[in-house]
Amino acid sequence: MSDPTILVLSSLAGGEKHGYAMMEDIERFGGVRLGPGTLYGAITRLEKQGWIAPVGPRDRRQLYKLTAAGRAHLQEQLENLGRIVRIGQRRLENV
Amino acid sequence: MKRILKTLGRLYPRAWRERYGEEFDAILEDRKPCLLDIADVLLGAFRMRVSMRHLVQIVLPCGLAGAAIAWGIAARTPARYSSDTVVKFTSYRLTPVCSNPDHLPATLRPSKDICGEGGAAIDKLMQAWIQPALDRDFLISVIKTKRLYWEQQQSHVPIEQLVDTMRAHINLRPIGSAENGASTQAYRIEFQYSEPRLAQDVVALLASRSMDAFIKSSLAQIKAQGVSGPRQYARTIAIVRTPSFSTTPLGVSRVHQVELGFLAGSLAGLLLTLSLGSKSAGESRKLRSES
Repeated sequence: MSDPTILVLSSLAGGEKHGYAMMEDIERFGGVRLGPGTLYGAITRLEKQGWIAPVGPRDRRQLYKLTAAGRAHLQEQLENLGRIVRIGQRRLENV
Repeated sequence: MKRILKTLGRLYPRAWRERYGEEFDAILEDRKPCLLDIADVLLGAFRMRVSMRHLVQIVLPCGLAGAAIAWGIAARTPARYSSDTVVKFTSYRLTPVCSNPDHLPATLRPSKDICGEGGAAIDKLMQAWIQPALDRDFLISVIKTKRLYWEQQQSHVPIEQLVDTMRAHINLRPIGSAENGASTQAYRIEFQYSEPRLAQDVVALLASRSMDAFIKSSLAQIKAQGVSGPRQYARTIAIVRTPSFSTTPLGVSRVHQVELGFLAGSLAGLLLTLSLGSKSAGESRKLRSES
């Protein structure tokens, strides 16, 4: 699982975070070390799509939060992933 | 390493840097960098530059402009068609038994053991037969009778210039030789013109001119030696392929030219996007130093 979009959304699902905190969190729960270019590429896309939003005034360590649309999108993505995981596991058991 | 990453961060588009630049720099300060981060930042900057916005605003219009220019050039450049024919010369050595001119037809059978005139000799002879096809007076007569380069003629372009143009569109080249009881050399005569039917007519005239020269030179040789004099070689000439007729124009098709124009324009647009970004980064640095 290395899709930065899902990783960033999942990280923000646990609460507001700035970029560096997201990187640390993602490395901890996902075992993936996101580069700064990849992280900010994902943040730019997600903000443009309205799935995340900055919190408070502009800051060098800008906090971001998950929006309602982002939560719904993450929910949908995780359900799809869950379905794939379940099918894969069932197939593996039948081998 | 952090300094390198910060410098590479300047490669991001100005608008992006205005919004995320400070956060991005902060993250580079907080994080322990690694070598992979250099590639990551470079790729990130490139992706950001070639975003959909840039694609629609700069790259796509440049590509379309390139395609339009290519279309314009293609439309103004008249299509050219090629016609060609192959003429084959053969030289046989006459055997002593059959050297009597009365038995000439029998002597024309190739012998496996005895070759005709050597390659260099026949090549020299062929030049003498082929070259008259490029003769100035002959080409002028063809240009006038066939009304070639009519627009230029109407515009009073000097006839010498038209002869040069025509020579440039004529291609005479040997395409093969063989030594099997006889020396054989084949020549390809090609002419390229904007009308396929005229190209074919001209090739027929060029081949005919070459054959005329061959016959005249052979008759002159016989006359010099005397009709009953001893002869070592007999020569024949044949058209092995009649002048072709092609309705397919030469070179790259117009569709391909337009495609190439689109690609070139898109590439130029991409370079323009990158250079504009670099300029913006330079301006930002200047503004920062001023403040």
